[in-house]
Amino acid sequence: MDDVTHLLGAATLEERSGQLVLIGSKCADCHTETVPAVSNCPNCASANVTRTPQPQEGILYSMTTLHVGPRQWLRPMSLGYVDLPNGVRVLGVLHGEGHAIGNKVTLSHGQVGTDTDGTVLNNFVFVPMGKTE
Amino acid sequence: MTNARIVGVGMTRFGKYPDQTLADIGWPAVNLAIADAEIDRKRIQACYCGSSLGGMMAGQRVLARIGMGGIPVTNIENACSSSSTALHQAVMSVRAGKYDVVLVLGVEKLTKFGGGVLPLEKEDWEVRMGMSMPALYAMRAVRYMHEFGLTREQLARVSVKNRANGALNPLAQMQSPVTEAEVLASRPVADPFTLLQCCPTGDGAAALIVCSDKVARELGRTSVQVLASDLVSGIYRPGFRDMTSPEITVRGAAEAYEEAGVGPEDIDMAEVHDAFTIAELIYYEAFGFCGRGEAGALLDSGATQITGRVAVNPSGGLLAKGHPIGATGAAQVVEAVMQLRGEAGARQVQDAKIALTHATGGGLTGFDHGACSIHILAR
Repeated sequence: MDDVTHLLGAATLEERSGQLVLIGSKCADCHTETVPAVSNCPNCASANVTRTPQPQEGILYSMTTLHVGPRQWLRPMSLGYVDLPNGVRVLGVLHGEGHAIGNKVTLSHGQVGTDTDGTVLNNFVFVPMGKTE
Repeated sequence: MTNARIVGVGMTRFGKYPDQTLADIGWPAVNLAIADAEIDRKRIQACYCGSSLGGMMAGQRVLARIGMGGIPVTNIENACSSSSTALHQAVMSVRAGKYDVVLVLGVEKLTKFGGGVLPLEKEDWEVRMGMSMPALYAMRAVRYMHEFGLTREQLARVSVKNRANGALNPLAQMQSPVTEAEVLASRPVADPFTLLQCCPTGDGAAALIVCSDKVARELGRTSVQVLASDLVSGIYRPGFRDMTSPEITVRGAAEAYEEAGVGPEDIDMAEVHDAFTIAELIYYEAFGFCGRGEAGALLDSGATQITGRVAVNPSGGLLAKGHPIGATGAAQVVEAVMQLRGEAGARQVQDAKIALTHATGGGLTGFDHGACSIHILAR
């Protein structure tokens, strides 16, 4: 799991009890939750915000499979919006087969691309429930 | 308060001009608009220039080519709404009495990026997670199909309609009609979209001359009145959003209809932001041309064809006319003005009296879109 944070989600992923978790934030004043974590609340502008681990599982709201885009990404690459039970929606790469709107997915990690210098790019991904990579 | 009126329009054919500079792409459109208005260029008091990716001082670079230095130039970046935002600023300045004659310019050169999808802001969280404009619109389409039973064939028919319109427009980038089978068989881009369901990338410019009632009377040229000029921004929402209803356009439409004192039933033609096929359909609903979930049926009824109840994208829209993003808002208004003046030739909407234009864009985390500018015009 060492290389998991090479990419993009560095500030938003933490390892807790051997498990990768997504970190967001919660506003103590208006209770708005966000991913990624922020230093002040985008809803009420309060600075009374704490970093909060996000639920591991969610429901797929929508998805697509991309065949175009910046060259560092996997092609084809499936992307989806995942609705977490705390009311946060997260965009993530989808790994595994059989994804469909309304299905349960769970957080995992894996390769999402290759940088121009050949570095493998890893990030959090979502996989269908009951499957792990 | 004086009305703002559009008294001249100009546009060159959208396309790929990698060997021309942004200034070279821009100045001919300005000259065409000035000639169309039959006005002395020395009477133009200010310029609002929309360009999203054209770099610093886009307006000054264009005007320097045609002896129009010295006037105040405001360069505006608002993604796909850049030149419609420029028009909004121009309209406000004329209504406020600050200026009597103002130039609006939209200019963009996307071929400088060497092709591919539109480059988005790399600091944005979702962009760093892999988001791109085809992906965003595709997820809207997938969700809409899931909720309302829209079919791939219905999506493809948006391209068929707009490419047929574009074939009648000598200023369109894509001037060949396509069949439903050809659309569906073109290469996959972002499921459910195939290539022919995505607007082409390209370069282009469009210009408008906006003036007060007094100057319009003096010129004696047929002018078009700006009934509404609306600009709204997206609202950041980190939580669940309904991707089948474009909240920024719904809000903007309500404001624009109120300002104009007209409703959806009064609109004879609309140029809406069909960057991808699904977009035109969800905008039918956002503008009240049909109810929620009814867009596919409205398209299939023929009501949005040039001969229909409300002609949508008679120019060919972004899908056929092209989408050099900063130029799009002004180009939509060029089409609307030509239609209202009865000068649209083979694609003329019969007896068009009231027209609507709509440019929205800006892919940002937590937003439906970043910006949306809507104009309602009347002859």
